[in-house]
Amino acid sequence: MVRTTRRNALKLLGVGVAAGALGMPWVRNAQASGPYKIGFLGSLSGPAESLGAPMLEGVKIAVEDINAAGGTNGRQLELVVRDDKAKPDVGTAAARELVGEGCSMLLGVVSSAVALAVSAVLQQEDAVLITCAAHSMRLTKEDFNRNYFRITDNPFMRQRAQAHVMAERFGEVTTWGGLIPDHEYGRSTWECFDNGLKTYYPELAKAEPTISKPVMTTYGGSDYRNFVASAMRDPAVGFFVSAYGGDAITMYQQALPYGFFKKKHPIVDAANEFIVARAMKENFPEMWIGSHWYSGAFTGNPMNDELARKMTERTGIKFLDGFIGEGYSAVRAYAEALKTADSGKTADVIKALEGLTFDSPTGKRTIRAEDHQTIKPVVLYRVRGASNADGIEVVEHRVIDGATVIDPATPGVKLTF
Amino acid sequence: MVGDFLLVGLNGMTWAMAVFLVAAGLTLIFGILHILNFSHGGFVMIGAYLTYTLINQTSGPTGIFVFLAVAVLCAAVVGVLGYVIDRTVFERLKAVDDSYSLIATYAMLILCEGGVKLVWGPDFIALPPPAGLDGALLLGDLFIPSYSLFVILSGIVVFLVLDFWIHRTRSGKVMQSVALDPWMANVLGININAMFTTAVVAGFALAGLAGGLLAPNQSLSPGLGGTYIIQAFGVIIVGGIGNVRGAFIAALVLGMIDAFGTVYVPEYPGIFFYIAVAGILMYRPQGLLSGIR
Amino acid sequence: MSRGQNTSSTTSAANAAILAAALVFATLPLWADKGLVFLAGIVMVQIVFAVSFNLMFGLTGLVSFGQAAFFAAGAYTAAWLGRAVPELPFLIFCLAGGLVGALLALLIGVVALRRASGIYFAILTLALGQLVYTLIGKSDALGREDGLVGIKRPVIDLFVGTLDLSIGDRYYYFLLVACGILLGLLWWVWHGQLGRLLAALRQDAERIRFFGVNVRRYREIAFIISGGVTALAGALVAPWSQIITPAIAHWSYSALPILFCLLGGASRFWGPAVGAIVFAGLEYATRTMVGVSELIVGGALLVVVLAMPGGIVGTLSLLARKLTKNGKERLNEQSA
Repeated sequence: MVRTTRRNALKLLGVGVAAGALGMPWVRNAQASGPYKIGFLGSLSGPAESLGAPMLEGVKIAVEDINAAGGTNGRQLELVVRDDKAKPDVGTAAARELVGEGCSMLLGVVSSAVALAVSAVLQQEDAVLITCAAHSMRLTKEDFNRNYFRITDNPFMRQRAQAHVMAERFGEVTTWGGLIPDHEYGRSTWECFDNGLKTYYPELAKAEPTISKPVMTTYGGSDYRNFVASAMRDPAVGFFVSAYGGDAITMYQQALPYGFFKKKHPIVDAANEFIVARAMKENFPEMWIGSHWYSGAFTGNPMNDELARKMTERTGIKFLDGFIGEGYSAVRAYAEALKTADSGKTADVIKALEGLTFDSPTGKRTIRAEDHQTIKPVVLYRVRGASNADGIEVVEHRVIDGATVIDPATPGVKLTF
Repeated sequence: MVGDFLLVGLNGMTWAMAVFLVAAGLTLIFGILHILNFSHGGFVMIGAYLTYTLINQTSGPTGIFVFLAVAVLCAAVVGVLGYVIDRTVFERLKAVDDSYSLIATYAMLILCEGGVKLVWGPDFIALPPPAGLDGALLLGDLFIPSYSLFVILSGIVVFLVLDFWIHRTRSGKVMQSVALDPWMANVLGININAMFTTAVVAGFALAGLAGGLLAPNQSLSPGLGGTYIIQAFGVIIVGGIGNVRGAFIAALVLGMIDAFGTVYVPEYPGIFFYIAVAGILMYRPQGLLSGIR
Repeated sequence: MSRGQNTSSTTSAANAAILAAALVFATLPLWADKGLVFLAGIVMVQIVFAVSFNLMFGLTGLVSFGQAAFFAAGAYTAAWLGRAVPELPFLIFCLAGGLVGALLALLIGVVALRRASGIYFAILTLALGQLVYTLIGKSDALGREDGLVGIKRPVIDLFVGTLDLSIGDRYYYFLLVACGILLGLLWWVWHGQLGRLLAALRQDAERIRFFGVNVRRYREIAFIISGGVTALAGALVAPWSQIITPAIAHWSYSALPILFCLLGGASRFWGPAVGAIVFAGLEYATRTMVGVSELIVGGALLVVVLAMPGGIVGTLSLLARKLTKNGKERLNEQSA
């Protein structure tokens, strides 16, 4: 018995060695001719897998579309995929490995910590990175470097656009509170939302908002009842929540019996896309959710419609997450930049990306040359649970012009309010 | 103010009983086999996912009794899994150093995670509380979620049943003697291997039951296995090795400290649990109670 | 127990294996891609991390489940000093990191070793380690949850001139030399008077106590050395990964050296090193197997631990001894 197990162990190790060989770590190739190699780096296991996997799907569809149409400059795009497990050290190793395999054009990345880590080694590795979700303001502010680009919006744009819509729609709700996870992203979303309230309420609602100190919460926990109780005691009527993924589900589920969503209204959710709504279905309380991309908001845009159709065909999911659109857009940006930077050399690609205007599922986007932040529409939808086959419905959506809410480009300088 | 105090106390109780439900099976296995089962959380997770699947098979709103029946069924299924693991893994761990059980059960936790991902996928899932437990009771101006009361009650019932078994029944007393001195128990003609297996199956069944009862408590994802495990470790160690009464008391004490700490010192959420564990262990290095009781 | 009893053939086989491994690490940048070189650097640091942890675990049997706190203490001290006083030499940052780790070990050791033993010691150190983790995550000076980003690779001042370690693979070779020195130091402790005394203590603490030896004091010394060298490893990793986050103080990071020791074999000096390399290899081989990597890593670990209860090195040397058919050796092993 012991002997067979030992043999199995050796067999397994053999499999491991063979697989390692297949990865061929010793091959270094240059990118002179043949296909343009693009490296996808994203969370394909661990807690952020359900964000990274759809992003990869969007990337794949874009690569297929471009190749089917004859490629870029007559050269095909080749995709190499690596998992960053949402860990900075794993991400850095994977990025270096991708570069070693000839992919100096990187894209993807869900986690801000991974984005910051990889961004810091780009110059030394002579590579470019376009991130599709990481929302840390530091990437385009104090930790900016020229090899890094963000294809999507940032908390300054997103949360201020949300405040803008609230001031417009709920001028009578002047007291606001927050349930904020105590990490940099959480605090940064709150600062931006707070700034948005102070900017747009006097302007649009002709009223001064009263803003409570937000309730700071843990993250990755199983019990949010005490934080919900603190929020219930708060006199604020409108609430901003930036808990994410599973934490948000746990928090909302535990907040329901307290009548939280009856007492507090409107609720603004920073960035959960449809992840939480799809999980909670008919029990999902009504709220305004920020999104990277919502296909329903851009109907009529052929790129948008085609992407949504293909994605729903592949997954059977009707309410698609914005990560798909951002993965897709990042590939489009590279393809567009390669038209002028046909060598594929890092310095040329960076130059071509700076100031680039390109077509995306959300319409035309422009990458700001100064800080590499993309100017794109900010998307917001009102979702609630429903007794239909999907369990949820989008009641309405709003698209805010990104140029009206964007931060001034100040690369290298910390964002202050 | 009194209402606030009650509310925080109640939330602390809910946390305490949720963690106790997870810790009960852990402390049982630890007390008898001296295996600190890292994968326990993984099997709690499997119990929760199974409950989710079974409840979605029933049509219409789920009542409390259907929910309880499903949870018990999941306990039985995970108990059977426990039997298989006892035969294939734990059986081989008896001969080696205690620490090696750590790596074997850690590997099993990773396997649980991979297995759940393979069967249910990586996406987040939510299971609402059954009909009748989805609302709240109003006590004066105090909201008490009925599901919180259900969790508290479940914890107390599981504790009482376990306590009765260990102290008032013959098999429970035999179990105590095996834990205390397996060699002597063997000499006295007790089939200690059967007792080991019973403890493992009971421990795993408790994990499945905890998963079922707590499935509506939080979101389900393949990472759920690690969510409760450190709290449960803290509770069983502060309670005293293998001591169910100790674990119950420790859960309550740690739950209260964490709840009041979180509310009154909001700048450092989540830190009070660790301060309390370290503080209590420094004061009482062998835990609050000792021996299997 | 089995140390020093190796037959000459197994010893020379082991030496050859160590030499081969060192050679692979030394030549890696010449033939492997950058990703693998980066991982190899991390593995070298993890080997020092695990071997220094094993000073406590292998020699005293005490499991410190908060070892990551020392690693993080070293990494954060060095990185923070690099920012606060960049004009000081890099080696000072490293030494300061090691010192802070040793001090923290002294603090935790005094509390934990005096009060608890066995599993209680493990959980007490776990709780204290988690405290350190939470405090780092709440500290503005240490970058809170996002950690310290963009840590520079240093220029070190040799007496004949300066050496810029940020160029090419230079920091990798620096890491190789530094880790080699630290392993040499640990080898000396493990095989020296302290190591022998602790090994004897593990076998028969009563008898040693009878000779008037202050058991606790020696354990404390071992714990401080273990914490200090772990912190040095942490200090070295900061400029290599160029980012440090509180994750390196988390309990799951403390679980790594335990895993490496048990996988490789805790009773041998090189056991944890083998464990670290095998585990990294497993993770590297499964990195592209999206969806099933957990099943393969978990399954392989389980199979290895069930098939090799003495760890890889322990089982291999047992096997080698059986092959030599030396009956006397086998008898020794059984009595041990």
